Amino acid sequence: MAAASHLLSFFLLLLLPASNAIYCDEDDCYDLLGLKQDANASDIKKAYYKLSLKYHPDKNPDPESRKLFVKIANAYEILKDESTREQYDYAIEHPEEVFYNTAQYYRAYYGHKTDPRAVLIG
Amino acid sequence: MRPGYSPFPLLLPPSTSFSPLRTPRIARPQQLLFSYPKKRHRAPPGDSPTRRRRRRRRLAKMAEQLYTVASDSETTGEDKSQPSFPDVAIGIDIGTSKCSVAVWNGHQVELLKNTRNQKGMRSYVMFKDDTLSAGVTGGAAKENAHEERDILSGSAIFNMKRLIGRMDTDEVVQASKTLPFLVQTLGIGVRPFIAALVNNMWRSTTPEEVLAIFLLELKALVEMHLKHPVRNAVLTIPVAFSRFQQTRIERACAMAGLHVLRLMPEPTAVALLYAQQQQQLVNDNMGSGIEKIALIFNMGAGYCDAAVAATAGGVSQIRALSGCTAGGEDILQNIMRHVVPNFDNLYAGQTMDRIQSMSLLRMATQDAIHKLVNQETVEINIDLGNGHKVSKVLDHSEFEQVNRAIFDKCEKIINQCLVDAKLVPEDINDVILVGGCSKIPRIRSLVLGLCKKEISYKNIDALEAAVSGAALEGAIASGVNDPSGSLDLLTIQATPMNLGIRANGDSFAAIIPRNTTVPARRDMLFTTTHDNQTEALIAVYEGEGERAEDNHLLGYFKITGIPAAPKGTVEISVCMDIDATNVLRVFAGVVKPQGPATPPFIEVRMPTLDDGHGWCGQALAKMYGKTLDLAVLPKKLQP
Repeated sequence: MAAASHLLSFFLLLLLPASNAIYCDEDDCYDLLGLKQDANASDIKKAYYKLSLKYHPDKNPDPESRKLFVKIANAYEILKDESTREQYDYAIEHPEEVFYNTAQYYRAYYGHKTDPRAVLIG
Repeated sequence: MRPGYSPFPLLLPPSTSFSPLRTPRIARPQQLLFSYPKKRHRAPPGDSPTRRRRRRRRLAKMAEQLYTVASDSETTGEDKSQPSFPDVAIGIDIGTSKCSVAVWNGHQVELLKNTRNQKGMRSYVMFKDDTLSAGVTGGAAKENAHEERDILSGSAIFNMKRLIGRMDTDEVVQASKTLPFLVQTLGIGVRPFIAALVNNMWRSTTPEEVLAIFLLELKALVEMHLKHPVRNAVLTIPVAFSRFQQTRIERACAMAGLHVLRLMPEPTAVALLYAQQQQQLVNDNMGSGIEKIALIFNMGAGYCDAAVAATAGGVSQIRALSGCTAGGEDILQNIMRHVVPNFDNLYAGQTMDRIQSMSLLRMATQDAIHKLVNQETVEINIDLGNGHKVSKVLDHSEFEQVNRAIFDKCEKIINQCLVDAKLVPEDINDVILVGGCSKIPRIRSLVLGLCKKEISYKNIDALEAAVSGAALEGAIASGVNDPSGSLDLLTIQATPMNLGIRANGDSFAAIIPRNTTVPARRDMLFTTTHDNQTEALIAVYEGEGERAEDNHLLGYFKITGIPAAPKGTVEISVCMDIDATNVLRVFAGVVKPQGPATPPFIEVRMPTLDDGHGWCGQALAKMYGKTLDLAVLPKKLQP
């Protein structure tokens, strides 16, 4: 019985997603823009404008590129803003603080409209 | 709307030689390319990237060949002598007051003029006996001076852009009851009754029908000029247009035999033109090439929009959009009410002499507002008939006081744009003022003041910018390549309003927040609110309100067959997807528990509603609000 519950919690741990994954799903936001983590704000902008000319559906009819553009736009959204970029960098450095990182993400993503705690309880 | 599909083929007069039902088979390479790669998804699991690439190349080649064959069989001598692109979309700016059309002529954007040498053509349709005529050719009026009087005779319908897609509970419709034609409301969330005076009788019509007749005349003008059929169009729309209103525009276009390639918020069309100019400066070594931020403020007769766009390398990224229904029409009505205090009593009900008297007042007031742009004071002297005379001197401070509420609205949307774009006035490089009302001194000083600028951007024509941008987008979206590089441009749009569903009782859960980059795809998890709840209602809304009811209802559908479980344990995913052509699709279904008993996901294209959505939302909430409710579940918090 005890073994079963141990096993269960082990599986639960396995299922627990890395908290930085909420930002760019399974991808790394920097990778999507073809950047290193130390890129400066101007590099980020340049990379985004260049990639959008390549992958935006108006410029590229391939449906795969559309999916990629959505990811690139999302990554840019996170990295262009200094505060969300800091939070993302923190999430990369501290993957164990899942709940803190998730709360930070929600604060940035949905603004003041959704309080993550209220959502948790409600 | 399927290309070439017209639900009202009979509406087309026999004079139109290019029936929309006969889809020109020439050259739609993009669509061919689009339809192919779908198969690629079903690629065998052990597929290597090289093999995939090879197949992609093969498919592209196939599409290319098909395209060549199709165009060869179709291209006749006429087309060959015409080096222009038969399928390049035209740009149309349907204004509340005036309308204009522009085309990419192979080198640059060209605005077309009608037979009376006008680029801006009055937006109206005249109903006379059995003939209909639109403002493109000048309607029934022989001279310009008579046109305005004819428009206000009760026989013409105008302000279509204000009325289209609105229910009779809408305050914009309510405010339209003082127009010279008939606008009747019951206030129950259905279409208003709209009619024009024909032989002393009210003949009913709809804003879509009026717009379609207008577009038909406009299309004929373009075809006459280009000497080949026109099918695709990019139209500019106000930021404040709901998705439901957009479908009405698409329908009007379909009735006129036009396929809508894009509906562009007006300031974003201006932003594209700005991006082109900035790019040209870089090419001429006069620009720096770094990112430039522009605030675009557009105010016409019916609507007012603001946008913040970031521009670099020919790419215009829309950072924030905001708009409202405030425009020259409201200013005009305010001044009319100010000049004639018992206006509403005087003009309740449309009799012939009242229509005549009101049209006199309208023309005199409009004239005064125009004069006030360049004058300190203006005098209004009119004989309204029945011994009623008006004599009034109006100055700027009085004008500004009477219209304070409108200026406040303008201020609000600009501030919201700046906050949403996370910018301060100092970040803005250029302030671009466009639209007829941007000439009003108070508007200019207000916008420039908020942006802490002395002067506005000079190289853009206030009345031609939107249509020029639309024609540029038309060329880009049609896949035209210009060897000189002047079309190496791109607009990255953003959503003007939050999109979400009703959840947690009466609240609105935004799934795609406003100002999200388009194309976009976002999902959110929800859960049941009752034990063993087997069905849930997904009611999709669009807007800025905290409560679902404060927003526009776009459509609804049910998820059925949810596995019986205690409340709060089931996970339901609702995903919203907007593609580059701005089509919204909603995917919803149960993600946990998974098993053979889980029903398949549902995909719904929005909006699904056709009419009477004003009351539909309330009916839905009353009938199913409690039983089929969902609650928001935070994303990926629990494993």
